[in-house]
Amino acid sequence: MTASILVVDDSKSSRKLNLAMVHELLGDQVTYLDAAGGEAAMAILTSQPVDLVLLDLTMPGMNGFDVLAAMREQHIHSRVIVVSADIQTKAKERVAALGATGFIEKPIKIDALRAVLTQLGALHG
Amino acid sequence: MAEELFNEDERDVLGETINIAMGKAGAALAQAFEGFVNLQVPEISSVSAADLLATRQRLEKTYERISVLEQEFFGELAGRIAVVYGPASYAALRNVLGFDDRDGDGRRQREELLLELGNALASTCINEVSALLEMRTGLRPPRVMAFDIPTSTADWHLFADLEMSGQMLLIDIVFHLEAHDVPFELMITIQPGCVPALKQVLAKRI
Repeated sequence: MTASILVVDDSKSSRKLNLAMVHELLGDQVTYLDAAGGEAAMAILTSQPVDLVLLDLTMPGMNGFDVLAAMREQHIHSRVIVVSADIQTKAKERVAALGATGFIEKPIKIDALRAVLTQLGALHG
Repeated sequence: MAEELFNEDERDVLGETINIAMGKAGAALAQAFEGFVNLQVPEISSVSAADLLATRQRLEKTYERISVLEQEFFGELAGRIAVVYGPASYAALRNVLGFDDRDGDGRRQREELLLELGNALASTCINEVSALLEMRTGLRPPRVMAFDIPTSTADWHLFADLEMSGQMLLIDIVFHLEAHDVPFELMITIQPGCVPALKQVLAKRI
């Protein structure tokens, strides 16, 4: 059961798109949160429980790699799906090593999101 | 500072489009170097002739000597893209690819190498932007505009349209090769005549 989702992206249009897609798949029974950067994301993650994070990598200031490292350091165990245009093989390996449970390439497609959410057990069927 | 050609929402959508294109080009660069490329958020700005001086000064400060490959793109989305190499980026390339150009026709070999990599970066980037925005474009063959010369003496066709229009869109992308601490830079200018069509395309995605 996924009760809260945090969408982290410095792009307003991407946040809007990602929120619309997860809402389409998971409906109204979920609390949706969003953050425009890594620092804002950590402020939310350290103040309330979040079940799932959709995390961008390339952001000004604290980037997605930094957020994953900080989450690990602070023992925050929310599941993280990286949604990024940084499609280097090594980027995918690094985020997996930092604890991310999924990777979706930008531009995000609803089928890719559905597949990852199903794999994580957040979506059935 | 020039008056902004795009509003905040338009810049956001354009920035995200450039970000995706940059990711593709970065992956190509990472593959060529068998390494990791640190990607930074691309900078998008409207520049006037007065801003050019600051851009030139910044380049001179970053790169003592410079090699520049320029490529023109045309069609619904038209402009110029420059791949900027400092001396360290060429040295890294030579190390990774393991060739020795100290003897023989080294310059020609180096130019070909810069052309090949620059063309791959520029075409990956522009073709991706064109596909994402659904604006048709074609690329003319790349040209080496400067080859290992002092940055202050480099000739930039990149900003040629600025003299006529007074203002243009400049997109700056910096790739940092992690293992070599070497920057590669892509600078893109969009022809002022394309701005109305580009604004229409962006408006549909806001």
